[in-house]
Amino acid sequence: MNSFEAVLVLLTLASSLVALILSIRSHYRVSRLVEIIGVLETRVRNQGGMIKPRKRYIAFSIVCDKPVTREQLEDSFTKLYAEYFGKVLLHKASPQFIFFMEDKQVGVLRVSHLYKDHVLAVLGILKQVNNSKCIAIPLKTCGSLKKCRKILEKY
Amino acid sequence: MFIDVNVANCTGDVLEAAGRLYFKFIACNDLREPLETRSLVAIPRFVLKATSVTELKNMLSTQGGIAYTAVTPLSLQTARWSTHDSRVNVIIMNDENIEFFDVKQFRAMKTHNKPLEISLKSLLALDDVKRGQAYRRINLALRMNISLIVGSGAEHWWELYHPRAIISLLKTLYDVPEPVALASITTRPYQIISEKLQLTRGKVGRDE
Repeated sequence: MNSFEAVLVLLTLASSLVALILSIRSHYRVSRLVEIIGVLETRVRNQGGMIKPRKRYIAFSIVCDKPVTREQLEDSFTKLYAEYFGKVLLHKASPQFIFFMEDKQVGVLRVSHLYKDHVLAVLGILKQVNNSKCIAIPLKTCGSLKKCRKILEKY
Repeated sequence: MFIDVNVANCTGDVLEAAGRLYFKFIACNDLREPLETRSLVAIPRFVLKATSVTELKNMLSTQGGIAYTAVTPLSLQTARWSTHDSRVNVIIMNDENIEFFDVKQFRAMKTHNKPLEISLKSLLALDDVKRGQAYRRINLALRMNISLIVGSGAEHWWELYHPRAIISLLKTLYDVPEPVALASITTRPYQIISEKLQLTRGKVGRDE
């Protein structure tokens, strides 16, 4: 192999090495760009109303002149919610009575975080449950049922 | 420190329920002297309904200065006149006089720094048309930076509202921003109540 051939081999090796480095760098750049686009897309989607609904647990107490049952309370609450906010929002919010202690007259309601204020407003308006006069007192809004249970145990 | 400025009857049950709902001050229609219990202070409140300015002037001359004085104007002249009288603490908007509250009225109230008082009991009892009018007027008042004061209008203990429920009600039904709703049951009424309490203490001090 003469010197000319050796130079040609070296040049080929060098150019392939440079091509390899460039392709690796461009791969990293493109993958990073794809990642950034993905993050931006998620942000835009979230701003456009596609917010992930998170659960909220509302611990409440009810003070009535006569003790009320869970069914009576649920019935009055649902009727009042539908009257003020309509059936569409009632179905979207779907507030659920997780439990209600009839001896202490305290309970926990579960609702999406988007409709928390609606539920608190309806608890405020709730003045009559099955012919007994009542005041509903919202005690605490929690992110987990465990915390709400602790609050009710202390109450 | 929550305040309910519109309670009709200050019976034992009402005072107990108000204390349980974390109210520190309430203003009662049936009181003549301030009343202090273990958990809260109740001050007297006068509601003056007048159709003419002369009638309102006569009513104001007979009322003492230590009471929280609220005027329900039943004519346009009374509404305009009550904005610039310093004896009037607040102007009430309800179903009887909602049509008098327009841009001019709110401009006059803003000039003389007179708050607008609404009662939740009367707001929730309005029909659909009046409820729409109330929504527009409350939002107009807020856009014009009029102070808003909210009372329950309770006659019985079960008609009182929990402060958190009041804020949520105003926020969801009337699109009132949360800080404004909170101020309407705390700082705004406290400005008037503290002035009245100072007057009462001054009067007691002079008597002694």
